[in-house]
Amino acid sequence: MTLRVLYVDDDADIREIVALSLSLDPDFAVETAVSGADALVRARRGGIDLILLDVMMPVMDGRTTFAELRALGLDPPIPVAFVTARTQAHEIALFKGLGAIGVIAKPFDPMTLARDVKALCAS
Amino acid sequence: MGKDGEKLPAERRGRQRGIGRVLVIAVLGAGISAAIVLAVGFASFREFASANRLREDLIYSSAIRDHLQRIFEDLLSAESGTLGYVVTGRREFLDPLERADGTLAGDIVALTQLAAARPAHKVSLAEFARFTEEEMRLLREMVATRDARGALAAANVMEARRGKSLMDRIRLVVTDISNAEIAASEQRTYEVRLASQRTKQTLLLLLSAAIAVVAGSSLVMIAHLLGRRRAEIELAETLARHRAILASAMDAIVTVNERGLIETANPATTRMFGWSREELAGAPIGQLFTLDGEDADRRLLRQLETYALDGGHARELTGRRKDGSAVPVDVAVGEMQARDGTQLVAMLHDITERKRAEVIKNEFVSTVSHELRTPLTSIAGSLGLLDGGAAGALPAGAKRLVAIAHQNSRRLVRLINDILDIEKMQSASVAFAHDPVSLEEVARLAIEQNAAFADQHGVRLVLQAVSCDSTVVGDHDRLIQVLTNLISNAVKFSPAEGTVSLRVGRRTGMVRVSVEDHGTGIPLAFRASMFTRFAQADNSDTRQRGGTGLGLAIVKEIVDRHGGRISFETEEGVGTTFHVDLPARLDDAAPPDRLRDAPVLVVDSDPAQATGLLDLFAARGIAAEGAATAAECEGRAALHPLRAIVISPLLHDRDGLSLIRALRRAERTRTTPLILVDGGGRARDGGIAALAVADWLDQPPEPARLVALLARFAPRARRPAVLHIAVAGETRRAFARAAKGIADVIPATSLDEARAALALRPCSLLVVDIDDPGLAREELIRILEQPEGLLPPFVGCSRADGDPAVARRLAELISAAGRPLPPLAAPSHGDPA
Repeated sequence: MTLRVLYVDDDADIREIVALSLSLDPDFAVETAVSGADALVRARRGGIDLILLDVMMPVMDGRTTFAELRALGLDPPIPVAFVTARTQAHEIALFKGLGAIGVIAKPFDPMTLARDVKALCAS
Repeated sequence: MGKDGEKLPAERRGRQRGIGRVLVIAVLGAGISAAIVLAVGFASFREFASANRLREDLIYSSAIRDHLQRIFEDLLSAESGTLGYVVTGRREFLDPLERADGTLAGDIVALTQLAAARPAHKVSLAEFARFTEEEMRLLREMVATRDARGALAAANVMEARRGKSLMDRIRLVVTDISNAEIAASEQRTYEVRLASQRTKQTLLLLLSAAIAVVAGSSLVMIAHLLGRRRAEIELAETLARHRAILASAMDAIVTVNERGLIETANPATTRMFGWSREELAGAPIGQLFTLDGEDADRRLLRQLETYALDGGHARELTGRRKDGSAVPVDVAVGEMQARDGTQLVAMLHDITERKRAEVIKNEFVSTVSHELRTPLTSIAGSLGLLDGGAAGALPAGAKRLVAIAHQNSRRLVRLINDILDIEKMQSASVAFAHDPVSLEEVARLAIEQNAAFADQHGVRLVLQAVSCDSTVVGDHDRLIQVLTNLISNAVKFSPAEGTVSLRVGRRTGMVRVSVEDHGTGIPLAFRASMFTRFAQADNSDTRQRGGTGLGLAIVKEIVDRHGGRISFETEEGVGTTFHVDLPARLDDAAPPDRLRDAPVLVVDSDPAQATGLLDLFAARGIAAEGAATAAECEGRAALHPLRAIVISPLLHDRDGLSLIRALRRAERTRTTPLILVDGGGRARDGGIAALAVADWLDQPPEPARLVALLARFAPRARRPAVLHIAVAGETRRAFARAAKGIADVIPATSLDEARAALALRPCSLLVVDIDDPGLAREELIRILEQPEGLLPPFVGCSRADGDPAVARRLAELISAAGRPLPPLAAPSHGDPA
């Protein structure tokens, strides 16, 4: 079964790399969003199984986007994992405390990203 | 300062010794001189007396001789006169005879008496008297014969009686006596001259000695005076130097007397705190610090005294300026012996800038971490995809180059991660988990994770069979990091086809993991700096081996944070073995019944932190329960006995310090050991020393230390403990003897010591020796002033059995302390009950 992933990041290069990395695995269908607002629009549109969310974004950062996503009141809510360079223990704890299913550290290994994301979903 | 403080009294002692020596020499010199003068006097007197005696003797001798000569001449005159009469018949020739007849007998008697002191002459004088008398008789007979029968007949008488020979004999006797006298006088004169010679030599000797002594003493005195002058100059120089140092020091330096008042303060103090030197002189030291609570000044002073005992290590406190603003300071304290007691020398270093720099550094590290990683994500990601063939097959030459770029981008990622890791660990901003971890399991996982890497190097990883419980308490992921770093090093330095072996074993309370390679060994020059950052044996190593130069520094940091230690054995060309020793989980190292009695209560409003501690205790087999608020803590404490209470000072419903005070007042928790987990070091500054907290632990607490601390409070079946406050050693020993077999005596010499002891072990009774000469009245009053419940029931103890004066003194002390009379007695010494 295909896993439909939305990757949200203001950095176009990283968006491309994530899309390419995940598409190496035929189980993934990837689309990307360029900002928090874009992500909200796409989430509302539906058809997304998992959102991978960058934290440091202009205007609406990852945490705010996450809060707004929850505020949409989708049922069931779309699981969210943060993808961030801020990976100090207390930051990871904070993200998990918000309700994220996990954190993927930047820089990630593009060749194993798909596997890592699957492992996150399974846990 | 501390060094000088020690050196100066030594110099003073040396100077005092010098003065003492000079004094001894001066007294000795004076004594010897006086003895010499006496000896000279005595010798002179003896000389004078001897000369006197000689003179008297010569006069005497001359008198004897004169007397003898006069008698002899009288006799000669009488003889000549008589012969004249015999020849001429003229009567006037008889005058000398008649005169001799009248005086001679008396003269002889007088001579005999005069010469009584010369027993040697006794015989000669007797002869002289006899011959003289005989001669006189002959002369009178000649006169009578002349008168009766004429001159011829008289001459015949003389002839017949051998008058001439008689006279010759008298002359001989006279000559003998005279010669003897002259000879004796000469002998005596000679002897006296000899003695006089000796006296002269003695006097010369004594005089020389006197001169030597006086010269010697003078030299010593002069040397001493010169030395003293030199010392004075040196002292003046030292003083000037110290003044200059004090004046130019960047740190505030204050000296504080025993009453906690500032004696001196250097210019930096006025710069740092805004008080003028005049305002500071005589002010309490507390004026420079942010203090709260009652009696804060005195507690601060005690705190500073404790710092002084700690070898002058700097502690962080919050200073207060004149305008009330706070200034963070590092305080180091030394002690100095002054004339009027011990003074403290406190050096206060303004760490505002350091604090600010720490904050900036943390922000910088965090920002750099993000800003570097974001582009690196793109670079490493792109290269990874290219290298992995995601963008299609690459030409062979390009593939090689992309692989190099990819490897190095990953190395850059590792480097950034390592730098951040070690920064975080060394600034203690990262919390470690405290879970039970099997090191065997960790070793297996580490081998698994590094198998691919080892394969690349053609090295085999082997875990040797483990036959023991290898459970420690710690952070699983960090321990894997330790072994990963060690394995990665071992692999990199192993020859191809080599083997890296991991061994797990037990060593007295520790679990040891060893990683052994058969590589090049560690060069001697590099061994000392092994665990410092970027300390690779050869700079080219970093590039060749692909390391970051931080691996071992991180390993050491993690091992240290686990209360363990790391060591290695190495031989160049043979190989290296690293050993990591971590404290074994306690419950199999100690008998469980000792640790499982009463539970430990963890009071913390942060659920994550509380859970961490509870897990830690659970892992060590220590019964523990949690309380999220002060109210819950008090509730649980009232419910059942607790072995210890671990308190975080920041609680949602109440300040941790007020909770501690409340616990100390409560009957059940009055003596329960309290351990304060003190996040920001705040409690240490708050002056809670008086609350008898057993220990402070930094946040996050080191598991090994916390558990070791708890082991001290393990409940054991034992005798009741009696806390005995006494200063004199004799008093303490006597009481300990008396209480032997009845109770454990815990000795203390002051209230503070008593409180420290109580924090470690509850006591059922406090005995204070009120007769103890070493225990100051103020200290006694302080003890009695303690609020109800802080100390065990009090018993005054006195050697004066039933002495009403002692009871009166006790009552007086109690009233002085403003405490109502509890059921006190003054039982005899050594009978606490």
